[in-house]
Amino acid sequence: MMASVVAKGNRKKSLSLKGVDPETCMIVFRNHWAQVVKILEKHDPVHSRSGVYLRLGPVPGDEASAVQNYVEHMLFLLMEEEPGQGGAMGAILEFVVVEGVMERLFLWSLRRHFTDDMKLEQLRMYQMLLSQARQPLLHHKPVLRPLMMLLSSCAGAGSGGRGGGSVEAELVLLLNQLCGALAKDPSVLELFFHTSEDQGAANFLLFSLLIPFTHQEGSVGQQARDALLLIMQLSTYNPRVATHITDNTYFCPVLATGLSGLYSSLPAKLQVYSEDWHCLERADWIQVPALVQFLNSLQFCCSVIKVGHPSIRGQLLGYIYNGFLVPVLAPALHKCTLEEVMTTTAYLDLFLRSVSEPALLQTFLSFILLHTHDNVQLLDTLVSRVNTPFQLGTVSLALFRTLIGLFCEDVMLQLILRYLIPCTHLCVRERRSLKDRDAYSSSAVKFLFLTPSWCPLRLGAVHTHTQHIHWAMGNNVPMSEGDSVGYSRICRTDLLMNVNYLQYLWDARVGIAASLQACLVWSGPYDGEKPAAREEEDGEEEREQELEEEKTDQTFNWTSSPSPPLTSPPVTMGNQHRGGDGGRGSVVELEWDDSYEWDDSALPSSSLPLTPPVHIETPQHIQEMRRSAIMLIQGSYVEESDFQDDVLVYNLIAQKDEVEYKPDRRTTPQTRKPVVSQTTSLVHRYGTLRREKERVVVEEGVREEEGVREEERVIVEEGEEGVREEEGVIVEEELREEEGVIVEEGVREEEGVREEEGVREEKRSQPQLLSNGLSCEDHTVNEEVDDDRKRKSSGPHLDHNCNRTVTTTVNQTNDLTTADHQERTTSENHTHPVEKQQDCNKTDADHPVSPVTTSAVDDSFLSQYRELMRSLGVEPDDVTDDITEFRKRVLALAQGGEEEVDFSVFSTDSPESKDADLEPENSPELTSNSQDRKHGIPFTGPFISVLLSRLENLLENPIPVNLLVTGILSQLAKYPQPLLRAFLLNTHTDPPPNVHTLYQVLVSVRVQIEQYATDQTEFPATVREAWRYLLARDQALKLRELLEDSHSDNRKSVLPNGTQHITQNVPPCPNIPPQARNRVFATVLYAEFLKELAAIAQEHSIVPDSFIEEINTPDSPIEE
Amino acid sequence: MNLNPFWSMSTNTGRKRSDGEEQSGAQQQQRASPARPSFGKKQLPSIPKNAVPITKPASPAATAQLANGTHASYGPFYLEYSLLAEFTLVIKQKLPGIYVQPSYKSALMWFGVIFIRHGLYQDGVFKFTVYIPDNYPDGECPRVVFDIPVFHPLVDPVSGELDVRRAFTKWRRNHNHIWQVLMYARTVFYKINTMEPLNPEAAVLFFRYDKDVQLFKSKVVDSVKLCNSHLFDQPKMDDPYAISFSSWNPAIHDEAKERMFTHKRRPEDHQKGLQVSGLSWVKPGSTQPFSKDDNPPLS
Repeated sequence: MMASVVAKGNRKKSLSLKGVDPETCMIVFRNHWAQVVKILEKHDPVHSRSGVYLRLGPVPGDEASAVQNYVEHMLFLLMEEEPGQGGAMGAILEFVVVEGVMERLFLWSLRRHFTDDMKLEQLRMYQMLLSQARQPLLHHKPVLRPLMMLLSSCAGAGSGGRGGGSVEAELVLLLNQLCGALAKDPSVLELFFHTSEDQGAANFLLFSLLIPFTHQEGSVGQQARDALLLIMQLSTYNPRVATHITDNTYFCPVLATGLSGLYSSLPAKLQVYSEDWHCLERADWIQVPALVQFLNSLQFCCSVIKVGHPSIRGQLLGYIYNGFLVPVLAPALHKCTLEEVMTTTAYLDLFLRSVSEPALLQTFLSFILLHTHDNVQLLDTLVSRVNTPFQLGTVSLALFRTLIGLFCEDVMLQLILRYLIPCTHLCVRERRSLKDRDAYSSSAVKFLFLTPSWCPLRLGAVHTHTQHIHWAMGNNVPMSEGDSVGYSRICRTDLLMNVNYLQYLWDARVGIAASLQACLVWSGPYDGEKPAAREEEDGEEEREQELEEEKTDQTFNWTSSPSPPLTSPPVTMGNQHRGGDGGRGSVVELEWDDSYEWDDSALPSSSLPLTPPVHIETPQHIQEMRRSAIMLIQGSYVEESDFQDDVLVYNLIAQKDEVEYKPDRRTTPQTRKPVVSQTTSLVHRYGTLRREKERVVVEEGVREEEGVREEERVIVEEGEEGVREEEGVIVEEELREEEGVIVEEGVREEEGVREEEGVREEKRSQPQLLSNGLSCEDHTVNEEVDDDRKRKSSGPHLDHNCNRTVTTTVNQTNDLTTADHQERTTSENHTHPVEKQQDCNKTDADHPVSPVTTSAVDDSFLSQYRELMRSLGVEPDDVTDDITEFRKRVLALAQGGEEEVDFSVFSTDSPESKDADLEPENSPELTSNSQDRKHGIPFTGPFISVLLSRLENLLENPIPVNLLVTGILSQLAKYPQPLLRAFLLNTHTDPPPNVHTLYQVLVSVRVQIEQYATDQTEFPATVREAWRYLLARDQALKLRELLEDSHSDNRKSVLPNGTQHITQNVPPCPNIPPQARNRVFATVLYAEFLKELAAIAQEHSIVPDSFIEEINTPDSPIEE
Repeated sequence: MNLNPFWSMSTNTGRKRSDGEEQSGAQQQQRASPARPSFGKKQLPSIPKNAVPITKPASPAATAQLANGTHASYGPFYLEYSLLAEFTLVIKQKLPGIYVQPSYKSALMWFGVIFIRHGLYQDGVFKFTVYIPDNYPDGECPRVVFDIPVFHPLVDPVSGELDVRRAFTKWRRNHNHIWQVLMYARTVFYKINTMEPLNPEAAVLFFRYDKDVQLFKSKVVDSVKLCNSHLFDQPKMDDPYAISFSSWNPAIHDEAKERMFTHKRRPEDHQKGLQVSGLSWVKPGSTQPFSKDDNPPLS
């Protein structure tokens, strides 16, 4: 019936009323209305005499259709009426207003039981009027009021009923129209508010009606969302609307919880088709309707945040954070099974890629970077998962690829840069030259030099310089095809290789330029000077203080409260130092557990108050995951997957390789440097210790003096022993290196120490961590702990101690190791001079290091020692080789000359230290206040660690993992920040100990490859063949792309059958034995990665300076 | 990374898997077993640890030999980038009155022009060419040859070559840079040195400056005039990037001049179509994420 109205309306419109006298129209209208009124009154209970019945009989069909007809005509006339003079109402409209035509018609509908048909009729009537009327109708209350009544009576329409769907559709369409009208003419808005008030209904009915459709699928939902966006736009100019929306409606909560609801309907596990799968591409999610719907809603949130009033934006972001991310996504990221966690990670990655609005992205990122779940930093959990060998690891890698691709300063800061800012991973010379360019491509040379010996490129290296020196700049290809006529097949490949390298250069250029530009918005250049590490500290302390009230249960406030609270220290300690070595002794550990162990206590910047119960057990979800993972792998990979081991291995490999390559190095022999620096850090630890002691004293000052003295003594003793312990470890390490044998226990021990260091580094910003704050508390509160500690001679960080409070089992193992360790320490005490001597020996840059015997070395050691002492202003008396004596001396020196002694004399004045690298970077820090405490032990962060650890496994990794890892690394290397660039592309010096550079890992991988090639003689040939094939295929694909000029996603490789016509000249895919497949491809990838890195390094050296200036002075005014 | 086309990464991974299965057969089943050899306990540590002693003897000789191979192959790239880096440095120095441009045909040849703004050689405009040895940066210092031999004690009256070597007796990589040579080329026209001259006549005249001041001056003026009179000549080298002068042509030069003055040093000019915008909510100087003040509160 109604369709006929609309149809007729449309048809009639074609009959133009032009030229028809308005008077006539008016007369017709009045007549029609008179007829209608007649019928209406006949059925009106008020007017009818028979008002007795409450319900009149049904309206006869003919009468209904008569009204229908009249109304149609009337509406037509109304629509066609031109506005009167000077914007006045036309006669018909005036009549409508005066007579309340619309109201009466609405009542008439109501009278007829207001079925869905009636509603549709009315809704369409208004739709038509709104869309086609030539004069504004909504300004008139007699029009608007019935409209509002109609809308509110349709409000519940969606709740079932056969016509529900269509009523909804029409309702939303009408609402959409109304919003459009509002957007065009905001003055109507006031009327909307007033009308609503009259009715006593919720203000701004229009808006409230739209909310339920927010998450609806299909075109209806889309219309509703469009309409809402129109209102959002309105809110930017009209604060009243904004306030109304935030204060009186549930819009924001509905949006956010809607996300939660939609999220819960997503499949908890994805069916993964292949091992290679690592992220949800469009082709994947388009097949999952629930996911599509979620993404739609997410997109809508983006739009609202984009166009809405700041108050709406703020509220919505808050709800998304607290209503979706924290309560829904965070637990989902910690589910029990690997599949679920993997799926959630993939979702998170997809969401990040889908969110375009910076503010919403910020919310997501602050969730990822700062949120803590079960006292664990979410970021740490995610980072540690990268190292899992399952698909979860791959998916996590993909997530980080996305994060890094955002060029977000906050992300990079939290993941990597904050570990690099203290510059402890650099030696002095490097730190000074951080901003310098590598003018002679020396990094590139080093990288390419790692290419395995039998790779095709090296074989085919027949060109001499002169052939290449004259190149055509405008041409990407150094020689035209014709030039290669005389070349053999291998040389042909070589040509390809060069072309291929040019492409890497080009990619690097484009990538670096893009990074540079993206990073223009960053707050600082990260060049080793700005931002300074100190400021970080301050900032963190400030922040810490802000947070302190909230977490006093976990961390007592030693800075502000004169006497530390004495409650519950064991638990607190247990938590804080769980990382120390708490989990060390347990039999089964997985990587993420370890990372968890030392990371969770780490991050200072938790945005949320930590929950009070600081439990010692690993959180439930981690335990669960551990269990399921163990079941999965049946304990097969448990131990060596710990990347602390890898770290050790890097060291060994790197040092071995340096020996190997020494002939090629122009720089001073580097094998010895780690040891030197190790000692330095040892010296440096004395400093730390001293300061720590100071602090304790200050703190204890409030107490009785005797107590203070006792404290002091104890601490000194401890410090001494701690130092001894560390030295012991160093010696051990040294020995091991020399012997090339790794004792399992030694590794343990080593790890323990490493881990301690890691923890310290991690915790640098938590003031209470100053392990000394801790020590004082322990002493005063817990006597038995104190004794125990003495007995155990724990290190300065006292982690062992806290450990005891963790669990008994751990405690036991720990005791064992400690005891064991003690033994070894004492037994090795006499070797200490050797070690020391070696260090000193190393100051002399020209002697190669050889394993030294104690006797040979003693003298020179002593003399060096004496000179050092003299340089410190202390006359050395005869020093025996009694190491304790020596140590006391050093300690006394450290304590006594605190104010006067500047340790930098080591590097400046001492005649011994000619080499600038010798007493490196640490010396200035020794004098600077607490910097070394926090940054003393170089640590480049967990993310770099896991990435490098993954890279180390290149040969064993599946191909997609390798592509992701190398992709992420090369993306990182393209970042313009000198800190990052220098760290990743640095090849020319040895980093301080504990710092593991990309280059070291690459060296180690190369050793693996060469090793494998020696074992499998056919391996090189296979690699060459595979390489030739892949290169040729790559070229053919590129050519094809060029020919087709397609801008399609070039990351999707082309199906082989599609490329057949063009890849005819490509050598056939070599028959690679399946078991070697990964290794063969990984080897090719390795060499290609070297090229990529070399290209990036080269391009970095020629970045136009204007770019860099721009970055350093982002606020410079731009001349017009 | 342009390696990606090597392997299908995303959408057609399912197909890849089947490829692998065809080829590997039984092996595939092994891999599916929970023991996962690739991360198995025994593999990882064994390789590097054992590798240490074994590969040692073989390596050094091999690597040394191979080093040459790689270097030879990538040598052109190293050279090119070293020179480009040098060029970047030259630009960075903003040497007054000196302009250089690498030639189209070879990066080892740079065209340059120097404008002398005061002193004896005032108003001189001297074109020159810089020749860089092809074993740069390990070779001799670059040569500077003036297109027209300027009358100067250090400029060879026949070849026009400037005596650069006296300033750079030994070219040291990392210490010496081409901009220093250019700077030197500029300095010689302001501070005249007559020791061991290439042009004895000029040196002698200059040495007797007091007496023959007019003679020396007039020689210089003549030489400057001569050079300037040849300014609009075709460049000596037939190279698209050779520097050539032409008289002022408003149709061309006005617009160029206009652009020069209004040029905005904006990154958009460098890379059009590559608009990536990064994100940052870090307060300048801070190292805390989301430390900017205008961050909307989240709770």
